[in-house]
Amino acid sequence: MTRRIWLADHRGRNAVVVLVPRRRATLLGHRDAAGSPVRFCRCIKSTAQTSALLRHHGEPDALARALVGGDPEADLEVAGRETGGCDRVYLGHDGKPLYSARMLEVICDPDGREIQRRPPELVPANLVPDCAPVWSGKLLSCREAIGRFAFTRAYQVRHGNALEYDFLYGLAAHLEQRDSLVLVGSGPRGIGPLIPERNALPMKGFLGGKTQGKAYQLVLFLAAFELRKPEERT
Amino acid sequence: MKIAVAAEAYLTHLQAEGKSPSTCGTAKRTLALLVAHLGAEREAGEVAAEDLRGFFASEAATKQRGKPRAAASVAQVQGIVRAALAWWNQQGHAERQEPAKTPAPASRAIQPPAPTAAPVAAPAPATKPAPATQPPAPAAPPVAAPALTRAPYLDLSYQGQPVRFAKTEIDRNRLYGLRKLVAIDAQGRECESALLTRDGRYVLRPGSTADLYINECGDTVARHDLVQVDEAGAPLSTSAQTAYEPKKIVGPLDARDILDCAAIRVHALQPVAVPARLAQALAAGALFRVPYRPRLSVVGTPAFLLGTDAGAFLIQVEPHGFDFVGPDQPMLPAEDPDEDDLDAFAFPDTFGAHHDP
Repeated sequence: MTRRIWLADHRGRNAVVVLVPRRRATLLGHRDAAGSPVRFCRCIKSTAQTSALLRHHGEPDALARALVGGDPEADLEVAGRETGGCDRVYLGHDGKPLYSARMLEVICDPDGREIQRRPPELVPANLVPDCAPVWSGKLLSCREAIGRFAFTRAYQVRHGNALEYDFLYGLAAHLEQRDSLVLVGSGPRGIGPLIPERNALPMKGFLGGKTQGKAYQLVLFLAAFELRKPEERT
Repeated sequence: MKIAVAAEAYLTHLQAEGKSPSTCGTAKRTLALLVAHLGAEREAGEVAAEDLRGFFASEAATKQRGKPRAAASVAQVQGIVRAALAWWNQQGHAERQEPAKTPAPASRAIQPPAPTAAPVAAPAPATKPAPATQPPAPAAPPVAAPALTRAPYLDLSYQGQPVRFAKTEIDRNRLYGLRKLVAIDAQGRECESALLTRDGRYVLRPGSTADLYINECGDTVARHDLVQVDEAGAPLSTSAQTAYEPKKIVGPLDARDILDCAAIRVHALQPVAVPARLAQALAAGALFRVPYRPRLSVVGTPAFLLGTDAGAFLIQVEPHGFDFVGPDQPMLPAEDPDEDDLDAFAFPDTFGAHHDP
C-alpha cells in the first residue's frame, strides 16, 4: 500500500501526494570464514515443560546436576529443532494458551512507573484527513529546527502527475528561498501532531525543500521527540 | 586504583549482581590473566588501547595449556575484559587522579565560565553567537589523555586537543513515558506472551529459543566469524569500531547537512573536558561531524555533534539518500514492507519503543 499525505501550500492549493520511505541499507549476505554461505535459523532450546523444570530447580547448574543424577532421556526430537513459523499466544496462569485475552493499554511515566491502565483506543492515521488541510505558515530556520527536534523519520514527497509536480515544485522552491522548514500538522490551524499510521505515536512534521533546475527534492521530516535532557521535564 | 584491586571490586560487583558462580569464576580467571599481563601495580586508569591489544594478542589470551583457545573462548576473554573496563570507567576506577574539578551541573551541558574548572572550558552564553572577529579563545589547559573508554564517555579530538563528554542515550520513552499493550485473562491477571509452533505441539516461552547462523554443513557459525558479502559473494571491507580511538571533530558544518539524514540514535552529552573554542561553538549552536562507529560495520554510520540551547547532543544518523525528481521522474520505487507498518502497535519503532507486548 502506498503511503500518501494531503498537503496544503502557501498559495492556498492542496493535493494528495505520495510519500516514499528512505531506502534502508540492505544486508547483502553472510558467509563463514571458509566462504560457505550461511543462513539464519531459530532453534528450540527448551519448551514450557523444560522451563518448568528449570523453575523447579532454581538455576541451570542445579538442573544440570539433577539431569545427570536422574539420567533422564533427552527429547532429541525437540532440542535443536528449528521453530519454523510460529504464532503469538498468551498463556494463562496454568501455562496453557488462552483462547481469548483482553488487551489493556498501560501508560508509564518517564521513570517507568505505571500511571494508568485503560482499554486501548484505536487512533487512526491522519496524513489524509477528512477535510482539506491548512497551510500552517510556521516557518523554522533549518538551524532552529535541527536544534529543537530529533528527526527520526524522513519521507520523500513525490508527484504522480504534472499537476502534482507543479504543486510540489512550487512548494520546494518557496521553502528553499526562505531557507526554512515549514510545520506540517493536523487540525484547523495545521499545527497539530501527525499520526503516520494507525495507533502510531504522534509526531511533529516538517517539510523541507530544494530545487535543482526543473527538479526538486521535498522531504517530510517526522520528529519523534524534542532534543532536551531527560531531567529537564516540565 | 590499582588494577588488581579494581579486578577484585569488579568480581564483588558481579557477585552482588547475582551472577552465577560459574560466571564469577570465569571472570576471576580471565582478570587474573589480565593482571598478570599488565602487572598488579598498574593503575586501572593507565590501561590504554595498546595495552589491551597487546593482551588480546598475548599467549595468555589466545592459548590455554599450550593449545590455541577456541574462537569462542578468545571472544569470551575479550568480552569479560571489556565489560570490566567499562564498569571501571563507569565507577570512576579507571579515572586518572586529576586536580579537583567542578562537576558539570545536571541541567545544562554548556555552562558559563568556571575559572577554577581546569579541564572544562569556559564557553560563551548559550544564546549569543560568537562574533566572527572574536579574538582567539585561550587554549584550554592540557587534559590528561583519556584512558580506554567505552560507554558512558565519548572521547573526541578537536584541533589537536582531547575532548571528553559523558553521554546518555535519550529516546521518546525517557522523555515522555511509555505506552504499551498487555493482555489480561478473565480474572484481570496479566498474561505471559509466548510462541506456539505451527503444528501446535510446543509452547515456547521467552528465552526458550536460540538464534543461530548455520553453514551448508549444518555447523553453527559464531557471529564474530561471519563475513558480510556483496551480491556477487565477495567479502565487504569492514570498518573498525572507533570506540577506543579519539575521533576527530570536523566542522562546523551547514545545518542542512544533517537534513540529508534521519536520526537513528540520540545521546545527550555532558561536558567533562571541552576546549574553550569548541564549547563556544557548541553554545552558538554549531554542527560538527564525528566519525562515530560503535561496532564493526561495512556501512558508514555518520554522527553529528550538535550544540543547542538544551546542551550538546550526539546524533547518529543514516543518510536518507533521496534524489531530486523532475517532471520526467522514474517510476516510484516498490513498497518497502519494513517501513509501511500499518499498525504501530505491531512493530517496534526506530528507538525501540516496543508496542507489541
